Amino acid sequence: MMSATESNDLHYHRNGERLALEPATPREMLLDRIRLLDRRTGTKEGCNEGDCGACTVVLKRVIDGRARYLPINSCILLSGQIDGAELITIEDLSRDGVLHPVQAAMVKHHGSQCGFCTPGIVMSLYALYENTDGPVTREAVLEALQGNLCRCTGYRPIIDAAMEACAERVRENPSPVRERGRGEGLEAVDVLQFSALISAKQASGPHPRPFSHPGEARSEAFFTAPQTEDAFAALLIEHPDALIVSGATDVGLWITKRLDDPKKIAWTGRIAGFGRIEPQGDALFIGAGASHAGAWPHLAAIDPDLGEVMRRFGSAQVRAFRHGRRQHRANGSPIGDLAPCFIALGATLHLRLGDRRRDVPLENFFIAYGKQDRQAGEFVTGVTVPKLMEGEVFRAFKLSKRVDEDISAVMLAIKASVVAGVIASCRIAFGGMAGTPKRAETTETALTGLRLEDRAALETAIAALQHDFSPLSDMRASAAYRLEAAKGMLLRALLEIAGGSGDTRLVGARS
Amino acid sequence: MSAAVKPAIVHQPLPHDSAIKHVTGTAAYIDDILEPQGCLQIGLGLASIARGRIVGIDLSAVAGAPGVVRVITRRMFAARMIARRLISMSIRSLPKNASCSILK
Repeated sequence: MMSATESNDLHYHRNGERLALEPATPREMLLDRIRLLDRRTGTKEGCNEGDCGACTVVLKRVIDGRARYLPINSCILLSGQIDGAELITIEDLSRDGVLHPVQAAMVKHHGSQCGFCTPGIVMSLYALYENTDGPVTREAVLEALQGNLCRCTGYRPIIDAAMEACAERVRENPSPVRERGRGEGLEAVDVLQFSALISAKQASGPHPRPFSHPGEARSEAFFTAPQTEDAFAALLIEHPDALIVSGATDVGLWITKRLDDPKKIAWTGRIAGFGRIEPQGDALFIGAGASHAGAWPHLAAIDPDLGEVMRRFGSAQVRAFRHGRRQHRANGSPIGDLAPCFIALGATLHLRLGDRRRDVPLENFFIAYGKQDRQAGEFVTGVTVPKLMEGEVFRAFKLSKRVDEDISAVMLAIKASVVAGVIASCRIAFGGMAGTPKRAETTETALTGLRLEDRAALETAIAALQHDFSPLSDMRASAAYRLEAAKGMLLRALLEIAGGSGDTRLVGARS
Repeated sequence: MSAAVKPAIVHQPLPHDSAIKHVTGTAAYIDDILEPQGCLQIGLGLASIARGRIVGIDLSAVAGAPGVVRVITRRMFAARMIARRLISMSIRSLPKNASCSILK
């Protein structure tokens, strides 16, 4: 039970000071805290949904003994989620008129026009600059800017500025943030489980922080971050109506766009070991708290296409904080890109309710649009993804209007077992083709037993997709386009697997 | 022409007037400025369909809603002329009595 004397003990660092983190409400967004409460208005509100990057701020955390600068979208991050980090905003980069090298280069190269996106761009480049030790490639700059939209200057001068600043990097620069050293005073935290120290400090058990609202004698509202999985499970038994938050890249939008006002929020960010990623024989276990950035190399090692999918969605701001496997899994979105990949690979989802644990094949977890096989109080603890076995091949294609950071119109993933040029078995999953990520079972059956070189037979079998799916028309694509694109993508995958089909890709080469 | 003649302004890269303000986050946009005390907010009522003819508007519920100070419609303006002028831009050309009832 809660009592007013129990403290959640959330805290953060700002300009060298350790401050208690006391959100006014559980749903308080970091951007509102910065702009409205602290009245630091250099950080801008643009789209308010984590796409444009105008609200980018940097969280400094000590990871593996090194200070790391993580750019994040403050508009869709709950204030409580900066627990344990140093918060750095645009106002902190220069002092007494001396600009940070990134700022100076942006001025010199004419990197701003209307200037509204500029603070966010500067923060993304600042993180890039501080995280690297010297010259960076153009590709690295583009990747750092995937989550920043500029609609007037054009990116060329901005990229020039970033490359020059990093190339001329001097160890000693006038950044007051840098002067505070390599994170002295910050607790050493593991980005995947930045909680070891905190859990030692605060034994266990849920400690919801009570919020009092005017007119309410005793509010049940809280933002809490239990430090063990057991405590988290117990909390959800006591408060099955609590909203589970991990990365908040989706929940943030429920709050900023749908104006949801969740009273009880349970954040997974401090659960010890919740973000672990470990090989288990022929499979890879990914804890529900793993970040996109943490999982990326492990998934790319399973297949380069999986790595390419990881590159194509999200942005640096999202990846740093996306403790998002669970969120991505559990929000049931029909358009998540990883779900079709994991379904094709035959992934198993692990759930926990109190002390009861169960495993579900991922494809069975998604019941209908927005509806999953998850009971109140139950939460995802991780997912096990089988690696490819001898003779198995994998392909994943994402079709979207923009290359970077865009929602897919159609997402295809296929795993096939090929024996002597014949498709011995296959698992095909699509995103964007139904209300949930879904397997193409009729088509799988039709393809099984076919010779890869028999293109006519493949095309006939692929036509079965129309029995598997009745896609919707929306602003991303019409139903007819989706179906045609799906057929084309599947044929392309099979031709690639057959080999010798020439150029099949504009982006994401496999070599 | 002598090579020594160097133009002072033209052909020189000049930084944006506000470049330093932009990169330091000190350029103030409307949303960054504190509201004056008692500042009223305007909410626009827009058509819910793209094409149609307005045959009547009943705004009594809007006017009666708590906190609403005034409902402004086209009728409020003295004549269509003024409305047209407002749209076509010159606020200064409006008669004095037309601008102020909004701000009150």
